[in-house]
Amino acid sequence: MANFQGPILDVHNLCVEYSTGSVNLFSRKRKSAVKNISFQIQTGECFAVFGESGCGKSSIINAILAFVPVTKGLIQFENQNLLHLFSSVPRWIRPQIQPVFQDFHQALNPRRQIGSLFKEIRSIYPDRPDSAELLNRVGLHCDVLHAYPHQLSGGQKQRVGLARALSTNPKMLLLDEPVTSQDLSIAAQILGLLKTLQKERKLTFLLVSHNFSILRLLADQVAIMKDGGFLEINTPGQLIANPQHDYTESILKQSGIR
Amino acid sequence: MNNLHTKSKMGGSLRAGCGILLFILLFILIGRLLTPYDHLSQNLAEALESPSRSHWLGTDHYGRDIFTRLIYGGQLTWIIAIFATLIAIVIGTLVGLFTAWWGGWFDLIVMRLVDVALAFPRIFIVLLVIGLGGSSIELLIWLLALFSWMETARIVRAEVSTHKNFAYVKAARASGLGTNRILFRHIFPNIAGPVIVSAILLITNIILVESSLSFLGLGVQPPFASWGTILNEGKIDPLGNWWISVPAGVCILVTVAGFNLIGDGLRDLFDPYRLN
Repeated sequence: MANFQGPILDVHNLCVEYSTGSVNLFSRKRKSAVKNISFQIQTGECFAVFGESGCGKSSIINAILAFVPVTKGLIQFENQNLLHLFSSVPRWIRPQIQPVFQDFHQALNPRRQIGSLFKEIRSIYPDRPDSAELLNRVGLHCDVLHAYPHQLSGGQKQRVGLARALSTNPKMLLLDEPVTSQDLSIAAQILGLLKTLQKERKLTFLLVSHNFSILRLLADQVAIMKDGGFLEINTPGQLIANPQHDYTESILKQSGIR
Repeated sequence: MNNLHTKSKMGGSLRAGCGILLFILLFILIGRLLTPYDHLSQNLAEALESPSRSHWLGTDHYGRDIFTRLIYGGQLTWIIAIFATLIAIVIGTLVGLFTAWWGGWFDLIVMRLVDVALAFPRIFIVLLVIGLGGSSIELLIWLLALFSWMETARIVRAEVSTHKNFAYVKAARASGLGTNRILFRHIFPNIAGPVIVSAILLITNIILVESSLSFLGLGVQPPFASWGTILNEGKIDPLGNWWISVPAGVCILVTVAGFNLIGDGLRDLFDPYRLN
């Protein structure tokens, strides 16, 4: 698979629905979170999804990782279908797609030292990089290995989260609002780090955010999402210069971009 | 960064609870060295003697030394309570972990069965089974356990339902860790606090239920003693022969209080935000 040609991720007509309560014992109310979206991401590319909170952006990431059941559609990673085997991502693919979460307070197990998280991953994948080396790569000292998550700052936790994601040597990172909860200087540092890592490791990103300024720094392609569907997909420059949809124009204006 | 290494301090209630239970435990384990009497041998010539130098807590209707019977009765009460609680906690934890993790129809059906089981008053079902099938210590342990795991299952299910959506669990799943490893090594340590508090409430409850059953004559059967049986033996003249039932009552009270203090202290100790 090293010389794989074609899109690394191919999502076709994806639909995700959530149950929102019971009508009776046998039927449940359902809400559609993602409606018939399709996109492809090439290796080494950063594909971003931009939209307001609650429009279904994170559901795409949850669907790729099989954290939510997919109602309809196809998700292929390097031509391998992710939506089979009881809706769970096949085990040999899992290390290749890693998430980085928005809520860094919850992203690390509060009862475990940072070192034990890396040790556990290495126990499954012994050929993966050393934890100290990974921490150094994300700008942290290896003393952090002895710390519990609550003893770290927000920026440190997000860097640990990034190092954890890198510890399986992934080909693709799913970045769910990776710097939304950070202050500006930390956000800038982490974005810079992501950019460097992308170049160094030829990583592919699927970035989800409601902040267009962040997307503009990283994304090659941006999809504008509203009410679970994509309105348009284009490069950030084209979206700013020539939005095809009224909603894109209004949301860019609200973000102070236009 | 050495200050990142954590140390936990024992709280006051935990110390008090440990102190009380250690005292009770020493009493029932090595107390027999202090008494020359056998807990079963009768001596009708010394029946119903009040506390004296030869019988520190007096004797019962058959002349058996109350101090000695309290020691052996305590052992039985503790054995029944500990084993029944352990079985109930293991069943409840496993049911709670897997129903919450798998969810869907499995969760719906199992939890509705738990609701049905909780709707029946436990002590009456135990009374009915013992009334129909007779009593033995093994049966008592299993009955108490099989009618006590439901509360733990509900607590564990509620906790796991919350934790399974936390990013640390999603990260563990995405890393390729297996279900058992995620449940037992990631989620369980985070929900151990409520489980321990539940176990402590359960052990106190089981001690009280076992004592009630033995008091009613349906638990531990004579000539063997549990604290509940000794209470029963003193009920003929509780004021006149107060030395029979008061010490057993005090033992039950102090043990239950000790467990409650430990539960309270452990809950504080296991709070992850106190690790520093």
